[in-house]
Amino acid sequence: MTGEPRLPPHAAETIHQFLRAHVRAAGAKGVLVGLSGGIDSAVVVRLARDALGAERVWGALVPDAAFPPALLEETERYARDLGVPTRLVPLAPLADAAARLLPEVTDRVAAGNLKVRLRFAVLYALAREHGALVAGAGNKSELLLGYVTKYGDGGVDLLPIGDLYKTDVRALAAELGIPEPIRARPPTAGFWEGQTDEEELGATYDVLDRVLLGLEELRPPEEVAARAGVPVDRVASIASRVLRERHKRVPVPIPKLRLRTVGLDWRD
Amino acid sequence: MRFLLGQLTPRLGEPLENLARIDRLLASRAVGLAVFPELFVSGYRAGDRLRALALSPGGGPLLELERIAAARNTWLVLGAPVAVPDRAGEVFNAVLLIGPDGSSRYQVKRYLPTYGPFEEGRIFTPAGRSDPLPLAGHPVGLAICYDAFFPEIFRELALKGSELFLVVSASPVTSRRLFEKVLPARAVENGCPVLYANRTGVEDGLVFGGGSGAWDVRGEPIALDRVAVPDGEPEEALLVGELDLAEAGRWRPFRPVLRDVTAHPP
Repeated sequence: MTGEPRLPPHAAETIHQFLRAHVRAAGAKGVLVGLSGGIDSAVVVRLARDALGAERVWGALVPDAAFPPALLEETERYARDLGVPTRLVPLAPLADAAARLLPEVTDRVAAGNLKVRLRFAVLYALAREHGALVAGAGNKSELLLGYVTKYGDGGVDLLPIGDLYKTDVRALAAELGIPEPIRARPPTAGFWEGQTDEEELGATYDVLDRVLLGLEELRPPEEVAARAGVPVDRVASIASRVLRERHKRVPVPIPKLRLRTVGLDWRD
Repeated sequence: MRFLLGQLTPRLGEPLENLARIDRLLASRAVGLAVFPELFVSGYRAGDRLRALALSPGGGPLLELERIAAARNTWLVLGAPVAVPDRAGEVFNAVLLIGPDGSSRYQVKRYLPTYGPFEEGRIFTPAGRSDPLPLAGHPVGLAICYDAFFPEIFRELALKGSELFLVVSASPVTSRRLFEKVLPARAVENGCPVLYANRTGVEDGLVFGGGSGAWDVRGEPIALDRVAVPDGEPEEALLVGELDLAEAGRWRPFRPVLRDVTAHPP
């Protein structure tokens, strides 16, 4: 197999510059990062710390009831080692209240999305207190596959690693010396116990990213399939998923009625 | 001639602040030529505001630039949106050459990138030709960013007598290595030194890549002193070097590409 994404040169320096510029332009004091124990948020908080200094970065943990205590401890320790202060806000009281209020919501994806949106409501409240922007940990693989919750983890001020595939994030994490247990942990959205991204998406990120890179480069499906080592119909199904999830990546559609329309051709 | 390349981040949509910064930075430095990046006056992603931000003949910002060039006794080169009275409703992506005598001239960008994140073809009117402009008695060819990828422009400028190329740019970090390759090539293929000022900073998701530099007629880098910018970002810099304006005239007899292409056009 060929065609795996390669970490773009100067990725870390470029993201540092991006973070500094946006914090300055917003007149913010820094950024707040939600820490999940996964590789993506570990990389984002590290990049933010390197770009802005630990005194301008805040970490927040908003774990649900199923979050393993050992992982909580490890995540807090990781932030502490970076010099980044953390705030722990258990999600259970909010999530339980929402579940009681909405007994008709039984679908586990709907329930998972609701939890994620509550988590990000907490992050925004904390960020406001610090005068910070919320930096999300979404990567390019998730954005393209729509493996994000609209107005949850997808609703943030900045996506510093949003143009890096999961494969790139892993390479960057290795380059940054992110501890091995964080790098080795199977990615999960944490919607339910035992959930993993790769099982739910039906392929490993290694394969998905080769396909996504092929789509990015507008290669013919047969070639993408060969490079990723998957059948052509698998490429087609990933491509149609990317298109189906487009609504999560574009500005809210507004019907054009006037000369310049927000989200369409109002360019400022 | 001592020159300065201002690898800086303009404030988006704040022309007066950007001009004041040029004035401050030149106040303490005696240079004969100061080059600042593409659309330095307005910032790059000013969208529909670019028309309102455009410099026009006799307008306040242009008069201020002419004042700065005269007060600092320097040739000033910088990018700005320009509007002219006989082309109502149009705006040009231009590089200005302003002399210490208060004269100002400009070259309009030839090729407007309208691909990837760039929408210049939607906003600006392109130029159909390039002409050298006089700088301290030497004809000089000016070009903007994506123009650097069209050797035809530089050949046209060289055949019209240019002895120096000045290139200003607002180019992202993802293109930096490409500029590092083509700019020395433009110098070698025309026997003409190149000065290049690219901007820094971030506008939306565009991260501008710096990498400003200077190359002699052989395409070799001209030594530059990197001076930190007071209160600047780490990627910002003032690059100061020494330029020999007579170099092209001395070099071309030994590598007469312009003579030969004139005698045997491709």
